[in-house]
Amino acid sequence: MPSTRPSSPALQASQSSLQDALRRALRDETGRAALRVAPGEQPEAQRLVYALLRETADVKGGSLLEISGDDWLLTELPNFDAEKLQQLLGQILGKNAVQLLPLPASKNVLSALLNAPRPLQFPDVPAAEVVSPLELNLRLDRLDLAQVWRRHSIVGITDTRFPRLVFQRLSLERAALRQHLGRLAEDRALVRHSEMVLQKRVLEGLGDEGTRKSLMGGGPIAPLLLDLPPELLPAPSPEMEEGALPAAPGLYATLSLRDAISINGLATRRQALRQQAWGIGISGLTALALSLIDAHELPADWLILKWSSALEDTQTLKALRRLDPARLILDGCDGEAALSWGLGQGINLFGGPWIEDVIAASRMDHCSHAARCLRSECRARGLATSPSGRFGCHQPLLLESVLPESEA
Amino acid sequence: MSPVAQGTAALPAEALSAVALSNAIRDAVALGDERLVLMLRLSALPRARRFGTRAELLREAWEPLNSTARVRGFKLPGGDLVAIGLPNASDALEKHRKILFSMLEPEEAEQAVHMLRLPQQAAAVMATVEDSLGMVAAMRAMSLETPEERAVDAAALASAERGLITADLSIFLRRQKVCWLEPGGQNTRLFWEDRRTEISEICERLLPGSDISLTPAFAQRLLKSIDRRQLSDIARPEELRDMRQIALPLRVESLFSAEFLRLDGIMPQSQRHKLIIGLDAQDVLADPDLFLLARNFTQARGYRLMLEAASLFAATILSSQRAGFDFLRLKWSEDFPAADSAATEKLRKALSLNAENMVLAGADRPAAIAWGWEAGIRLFQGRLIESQRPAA
Repeated sequence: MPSTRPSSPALQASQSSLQDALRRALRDETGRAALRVAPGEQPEAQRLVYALLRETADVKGGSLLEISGDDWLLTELPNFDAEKLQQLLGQILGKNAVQLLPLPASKNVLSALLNAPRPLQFPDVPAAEVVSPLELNLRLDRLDLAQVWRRHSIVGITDTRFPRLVFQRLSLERAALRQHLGRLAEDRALVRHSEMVLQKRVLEGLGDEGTRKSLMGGGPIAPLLLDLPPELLPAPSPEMEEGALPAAPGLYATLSLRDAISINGLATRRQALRQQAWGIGISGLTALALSLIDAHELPADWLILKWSSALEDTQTLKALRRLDPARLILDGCDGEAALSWGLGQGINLFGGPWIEDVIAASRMDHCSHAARCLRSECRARGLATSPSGRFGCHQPLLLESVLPESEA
Repeated sequence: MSPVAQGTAALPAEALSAVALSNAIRDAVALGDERLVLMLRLSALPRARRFGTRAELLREAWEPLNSTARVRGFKLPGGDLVAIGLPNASDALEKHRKILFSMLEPEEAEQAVHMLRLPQQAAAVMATVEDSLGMVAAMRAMSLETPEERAVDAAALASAERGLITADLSIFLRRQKVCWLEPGGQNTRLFWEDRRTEISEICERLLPGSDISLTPAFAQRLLKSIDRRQLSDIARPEELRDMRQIALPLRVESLFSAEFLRLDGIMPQSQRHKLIIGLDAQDVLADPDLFLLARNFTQARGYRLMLEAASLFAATILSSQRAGFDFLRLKWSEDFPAADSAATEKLRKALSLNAENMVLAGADRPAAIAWGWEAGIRLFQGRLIESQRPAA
């Protein structure tokens, strides 16, 4: 953890004991091995690996050192215990995350660490403390919607055509929320509760014309995808208009996978919502999620895939082949690789940071004032959900329309 | 029509058309281009007029506009028709306006047929688009009437958590037998004991008058506290000494708590298979990466995992087999499809589990057991099972 980096006296003192531990491991005695582990970024994974390594080290000797945040070393263990631990950690983290270094054969690796430019230290894994929820209300009251909501775009792209706007999407920027919550963000439940509070506030905001204009930068120009919990879906309307035209949804509630499976009878519910001009999207379909679920059984208008190169895995492709590509949106596109993979699967709706880049660029191509702004400014203003966030634009109507259409 | 519009089956072509129209309006306004807009608002007509022959005739009269040079036609959701033309197409637009006007009663015509100019009258055109896009309708349907006074706030949660520290959980703990039960009644055996607390009962005590289900994230947090207490209880020497098989529902996060790691440290390897860890399907899908880590860890250590599905729907979406669970636990409810129905057959196929790997909880009535037998289930839990006297 990068919290205690500066060379305090305590740290200098521990430096010498760290070096001693390494030197001890370098002695000429066979039947021992060191273990190098990459615990990953997740705090839970770090705590788990730490506990397992410590458990053995406390009994069998050796010191646990941190080479870098995601690179730990248990300096020495009897061969038998080292191999057992290697096997266990390999099962948990994957084989590639653990390396067995037989001693003294691997001396070179360890002595290189003695002279490494970055000082070694003991891993600093904070225990899972329970964060008090008391400050939560105050923090949320102080939060302005524009700080955490972004106006994203989902565009339609086929091989031959220029991208066109198909959906707008209001989504919570989780990093911004976590930053605002500070220590409270260490508790997943408090983060989830905050999301729900903010989702409710944004939905109320959309119902008010002034706030809606402020959030969206004008009237709706495309159907809106909005992250919502099931609690905020409209209650089934008792009086369904007889013979009413099935209204085209103006609003698609995008449910997380967790929330989607909590609605028993989602298929029926979706039909009822359709009468009220609501549709359903389901987000959070990562490669891993696809390997666990039968996604083709999900009753939704839209399934939102999260791009990562893991989607290219053959097992995932098999699961994807059971889905109708016309119902898929590939989100999180970070470059051309994502786009070409998506097009290859028959997907033609895309969103993500790279898509926002493309949108800002094509908007500037059409803008007569483009010379006065940077691409990054235009992009940020397009994502903003408040007039102040859009301030500085000389072509607000063009900004509003997200992506110009040079046809009519 | 673009290939996108044809491909996106769930998004009607009309909605795409509305998006294109709103963009065309904004472009015209942004660039200061003059355009003429003719609108036929069928949605403004009385309901009876919107359908049938009259509407059909109106649409037919409109049709030539769609192929007129320098005019672009749009069909909006809800049936409204809009045509945007360059200034030199004004004759064609005006001619159609007159035709449409003459086909309606004067009053209706005033309401339904409009000729507008861009950029001056953009707002009026946009209002039509907004209406047709369904946003207005969606907002009308919105219901935000949560009974606020019954919701738990952060301060109440904090005080409930303090109360939980001293509360005696054992009075809330339900211990039920999970038994193997065959049609005909042979071979009835006890498989394990299920231990769980009902959060609603605990909250009745700790948070009287409020409803924890309105704040599911807070419920989750309380459940994590309860998990930790349960794990400490099981880690007591007298519990471990002659531990029988038990099933314990836990949150995925609780498997990384100090309490679980401590229990794991002191429980002998040979005993671990006796602890069956129940994980809820929703909790699993809340963070699949964390679940994977938890699964790999607990299975490497020798524990067994049980997927708990709150509904048949959840059980058909999250595949207990592919997710690597040893057991699937369903809770019977009145709305389960009839046992011999096609739905059950489909479910049976989807689950494709052996009888030893499926548990039906909530077996309080014979109907539940009958359903279970039909569905190939032999392991049951519920009030009816409590009265059974297993051989072992």
